[in-house]
Amino acid sequence: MIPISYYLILSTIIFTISIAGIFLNRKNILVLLMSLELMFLSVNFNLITLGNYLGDLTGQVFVFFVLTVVAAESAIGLALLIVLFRSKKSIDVDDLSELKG
Amino acid sequence: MINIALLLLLTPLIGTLILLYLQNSSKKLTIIISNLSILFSFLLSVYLLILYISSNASTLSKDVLVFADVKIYSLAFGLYIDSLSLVMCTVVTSVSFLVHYYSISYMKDEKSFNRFFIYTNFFTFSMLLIVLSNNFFQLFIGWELVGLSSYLLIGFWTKKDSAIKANYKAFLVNRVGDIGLILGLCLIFISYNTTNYNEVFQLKDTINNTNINIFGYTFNTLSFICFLLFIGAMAKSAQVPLHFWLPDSMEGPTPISALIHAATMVTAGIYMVARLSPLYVLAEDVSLFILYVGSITAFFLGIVALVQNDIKRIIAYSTISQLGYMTAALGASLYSLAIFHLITHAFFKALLFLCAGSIIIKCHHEQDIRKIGGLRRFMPITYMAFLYASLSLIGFPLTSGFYSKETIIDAVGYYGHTIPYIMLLLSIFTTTLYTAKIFSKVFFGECTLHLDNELKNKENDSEMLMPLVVLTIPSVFLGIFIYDSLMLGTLFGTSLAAQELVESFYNDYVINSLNFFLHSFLTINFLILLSAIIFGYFYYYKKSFVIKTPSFIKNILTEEYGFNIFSSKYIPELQNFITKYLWRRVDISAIDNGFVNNTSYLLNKISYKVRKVHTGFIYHYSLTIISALILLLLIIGYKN
Repeated sequence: MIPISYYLILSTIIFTISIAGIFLNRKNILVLLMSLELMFLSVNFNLITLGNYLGDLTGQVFVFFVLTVVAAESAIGLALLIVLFRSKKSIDVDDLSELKG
Repeated sequence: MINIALLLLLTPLIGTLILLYLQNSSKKLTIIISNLSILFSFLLSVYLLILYISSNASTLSKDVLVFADVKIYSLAFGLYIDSLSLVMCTVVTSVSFLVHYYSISYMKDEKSFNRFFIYTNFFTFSMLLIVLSNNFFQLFIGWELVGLSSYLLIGFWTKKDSAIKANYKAFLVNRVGDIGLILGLCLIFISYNTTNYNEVFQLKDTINNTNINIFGYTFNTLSFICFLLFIGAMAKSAQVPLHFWLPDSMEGPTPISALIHAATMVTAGIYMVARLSPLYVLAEDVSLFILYVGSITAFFLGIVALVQNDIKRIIAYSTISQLGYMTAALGASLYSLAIFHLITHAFFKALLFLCAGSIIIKCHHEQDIRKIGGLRRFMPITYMAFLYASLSLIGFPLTSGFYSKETIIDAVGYYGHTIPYIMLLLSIFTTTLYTAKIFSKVFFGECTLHLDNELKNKENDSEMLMPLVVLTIPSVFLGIFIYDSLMLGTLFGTSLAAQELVESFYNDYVINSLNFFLHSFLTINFLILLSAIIFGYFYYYKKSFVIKTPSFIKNILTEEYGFNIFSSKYIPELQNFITKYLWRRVDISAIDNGFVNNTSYLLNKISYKVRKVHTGFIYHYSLTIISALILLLLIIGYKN
């Protein structure tokens, strides 16, 4: 049997990758949204792992809710992205600095 | 009785309201409404007075309407009916009616004819409110309304610059007096817990022994109340040093001067002190102060009249001087004598002013007596009326003014107030002299004005002359008619305190009115009067000699002891200085630059620094969020 720490470490690695994706990404918003997806996945992974480990079904059921919300969120994010592209002809992150002080 | 008194009080107010509603009505309607309301009020007050005296009724004080009833006190609108208030009502309404009647002709070419009558009706109402009030609160309201209506009337000719300045001055000087009045009222309320006259009179003895501490000095509470209230009376009744608004109030129409000087305004202060005589009689030190203020006013401001050349200003100074007599009588605790002189003065001074108005109309609004002259020939009725009023003013034996004035002078002397007595005696001389001055210059000599021939042959309208004739009667005969009953206290009964002083003087010195009249020819008063008449005759009429007054004395007198320059130059300058200082230091430096502008400046400066945080890059924001989250988690973890 694979020890639980492996699962958790994997989840942490995915989470770190996604955060790094947000910070280091200077290119476009699409990558940003993907990083967010990845972050949700790592969290979901954590929930399933711990749910299974503790023998509690709630964690695994909760993942479905999270997935639904994530789906909605990404739909909205993509819609915003399209509107943004229409108005600015660009999805470059560096171009979105109109609130710069 | 209360209902009739209420009607008497409210009729002029109803007249005012109807006139206000019918502002664009014809002149005829205005005349009818305004005159009828005052006439009705007059008839009611005469009826009430007769009813009161014949039925020997006692003092009646009743709250008609209570409009604020809190547990500890109540503010009420009430009426106080006794012979004093009814006599005052009769005087006020009779003079007011004659002035109204006179104004029909005097103001006939005026554009805002209606406005004039609205104001005068309201003026009469405000005065009646003071006279009939049964509590201090209502007195204060009436007091302020009188101030307001006098302000409106003095500045009736709103386009005349001097009139606006004069009404402003009158209003401000009265505000100064009101400070005293308001503080006095507050002190009464604090110490007695009531504003009702009767309740205060009942409690006066308990308060008389209490003291009040102000800035480390201890005063007797009652004396202090009396002193504060008297400051209010000083401003209203034009006593030194708050007198200087009165000569300037001559800027209003002449009937208004008659109204202010005779019936409605300046008498308010005298009336108030007489009404509160049960309090004032206990405050002996304040009474002494009042006596000196009165006699100083009577003497020194009578002298100023000698150097004036405006006919109305001379009469105005004469009013101040006569008010000084009344105040002196109040100070000597001879309250009924003060009221007596108030009544006779109301009639003969109204007459003098109405005569002056008649002269002014005739001379096309020329008021300088150096230019007017020789009017005796074509204004016989005005001439005769003015003659009788003058005789009454100088106190020529048998006239009303003689009885009231000589009695005050003799009584002040009788009770041993030597210095006031001498001042009052000497002002007989000045009174006679300035009267002789007006008389000889206006009615005799040559007229330098260019008058039309048509005007020369005809005297003014009968509306204007009728009040003169009517007013002559009380000016001459009222004194002897009421003298004995007044002195013996049967007229005012218990409404005035210290009546026994007057009575003992009467029994000791006067004996009866006829004896007083006959005796007067042998007194020093008559000697002074006679010498002044002879002096005036040779100096003003015959011009047989010329007196060179030293220029510095003349300067002092024409400057009116510096009160004029003080009030119209130094006080505004001081105020200007203070307000400019406050404007620069407080308004601009502290408030504008210090608080308002500095706040925005600081905010601006801070936000310039803070805005650098907003880089506009999403990863900066998210880094901040994440690092904050990690920090938070670390803190929570560390705590657990």
